[in-house]
Amino acid sequence: MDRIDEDKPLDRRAVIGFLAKAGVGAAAFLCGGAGVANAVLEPAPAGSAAPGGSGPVPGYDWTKHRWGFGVDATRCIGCLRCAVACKQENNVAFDPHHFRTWVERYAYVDGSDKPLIDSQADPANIAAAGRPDNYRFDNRYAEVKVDKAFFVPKLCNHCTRPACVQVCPTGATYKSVDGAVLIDHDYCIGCRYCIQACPYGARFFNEERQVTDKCTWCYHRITKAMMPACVEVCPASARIFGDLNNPHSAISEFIHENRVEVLRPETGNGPNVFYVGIDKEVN
Amino acid sequence: MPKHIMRLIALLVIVGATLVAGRYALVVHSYYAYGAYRGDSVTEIAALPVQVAPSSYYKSFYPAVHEKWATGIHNVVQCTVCHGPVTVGATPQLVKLENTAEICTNCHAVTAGRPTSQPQINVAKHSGKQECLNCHDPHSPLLTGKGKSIAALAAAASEGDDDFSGGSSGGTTAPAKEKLPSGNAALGQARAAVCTTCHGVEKIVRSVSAGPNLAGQTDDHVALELHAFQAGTRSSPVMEPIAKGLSANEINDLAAYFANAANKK
Ligand code: HEC
Ligand code: HEC
Ligand code: HEC
Repeated sequence: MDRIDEDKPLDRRAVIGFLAKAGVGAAAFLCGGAGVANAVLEPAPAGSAAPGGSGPVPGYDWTKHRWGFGVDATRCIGCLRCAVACKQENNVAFDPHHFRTWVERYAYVDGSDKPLIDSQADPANIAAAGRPDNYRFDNRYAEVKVDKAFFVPKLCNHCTRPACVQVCPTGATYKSVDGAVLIDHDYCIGCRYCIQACPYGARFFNEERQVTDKCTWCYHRITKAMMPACVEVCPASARIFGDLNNPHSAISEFIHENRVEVLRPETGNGPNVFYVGIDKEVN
Repeated sequence: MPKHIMRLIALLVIVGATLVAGRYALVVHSYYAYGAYRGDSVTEIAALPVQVAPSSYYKSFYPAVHEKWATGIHNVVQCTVCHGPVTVGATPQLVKLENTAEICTNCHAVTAGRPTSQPQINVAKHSGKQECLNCHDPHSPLLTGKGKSIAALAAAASEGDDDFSGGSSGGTTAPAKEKLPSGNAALGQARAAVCTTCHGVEKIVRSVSAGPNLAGQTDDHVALELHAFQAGTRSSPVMEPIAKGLSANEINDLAAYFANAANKK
């Protein structure tokens, strides 16, 4: 503004230029200086504006962790205790259609190269469970020759570049600094774009609260140094969880010792659930 | 400065102040603290209660049961799986278990897709309509028998003998034992070489067709079942001829060996 002096009236161009700058400045100010897409791809350097410097969770430094999840499908016994524990832990409706984590069975019968797929939501499996608060796989292939059959636990992949976060119009779902994709149920308006954006079908609509819901890796447990509920109860050690920053954590060792793969890598989401013992038909 | 410029500046200041005030009033403070989301929501999510307590949480409430569980083969099955969820901080309220067969078969019924490493039973052949607790202790289920042969237990259960109908009497009332003389584990080890192809050494063999796991089993159970095979009260085309070739002392030695063999994972 030092160019402006009393003798020389401002020319129109200067005023417009000033206004334009002020407008951009105000807009940037209102938006907090960061585009939504930017914030997704490169989370703000943690602690930059954090009270206490280490993140929003008291007693837990989220800059020090990068969580990852492993699934060893060769060990899964399909008991579905993970699905039950998850519902108990996270107050998910006890019906056969809403799950934060679930299990699918892939069976190759009699020389076929296409698997038959069922999950706990299959009518025959619902009947086998008998009660709405229990889940079970029936023994449906007892009479046929099964070449290969295995169970595949599924859950949110907590992707590095999550499509669900990109499409959220309200900033209700976001990627935390330590790697979990979370949902702010106060800001969720229930538009369900994210459910459609997720290539894994990991999100579901919570009709009761009119918000989207999904796995948080039990964020309230892992920030207290506990395992997610599904990992805690798995009797077969088919689920592995830990800190990718720590080379000796269970998940780092799992990834180093096995040939791991991820589901649908071609979507570019960068999933963070690493699988062992699945095959090409699983996605 | 000309008047119209002053007015313009004043107007801009007012607009700017309104924007600042508006943002302050409308945007939640923690928004953008870390990114394009409400930072406080992370704090809220992290503060949710833990409702599926780890088994270590039960230790101070039930030290004896916890100890038995922790040293047995079932230490991979958490308390909450059978007893229902418990919020950390609250006293566990164990759900009364009405139908244990349903609980056990969630994990142990033969099911397509289940890896052979998981012990599985054909329920109709294995136990029929009997309660699993007639023979197994849920907290350390390898310890079968409760001092009686399986055939005797089944007979007792079908007569409605309360001692063996399971329930919360669990480990507290020990049924009268047919105590057998203890054998020599070292002699048993030499003899067990023929058994291990089917029964495993320290749990190596695990398939639906192989024999049940014997390592870590009680000596009573091993001996009583071998006597039952000998006498024909328990029929098995495989085990009957094997058992008939054993003397009473050899049976006791084998029983001592398997009882002391480590049940390693
Ligand atoms: C959540 C799943 C689960 C439930 C429920 C469960 N078990 Fe198990 N059980 C296992 C696993 C896993 C093993 C194998 C542990 C190992 O290999 O270390 C096992 C092992 C056993 C064994 C030893 C088998 C052998 O030959 O080694 C017996 C006997 C057994 N369970 C009985 C029971 C009974 C009785 C119940 C019901 C009161 C029950 N289980 C409920 C998962 C379960
Ligand atoms: C495989 C299922 C299973 C698991 C795992 C299990 N229990 Fe049990 N528990 C039972 C059953 C079945 C009963 C007897 C039925 C009843 O009374 O409800 C029982 C009874 C009990 C009882 C009362 C009777 C007694 O024996 O004193 C206590 C206390 C108990 N359990 C504690 C625990 C604790 C603590 C753990 C974890 C360390 C645990 N249970 C794990 C199935 C299980
Ligand atoms: C050819 C395989 C094979 C060999 C060898 C073998 N067993 Fe077995 N055993 C079995 C099978 C199969 C069963 C289950 C029988 C049934 O329940 O129908 C069994 C059952 C048993 C049982 C009852 C266990 C229970 O919990 O019900 C005992 C005890 C036993 N065997 C001891 C032995 C001993 C001791 C030897 C060695 C001298 C031996 N077995 C050798 C296959 C074998």
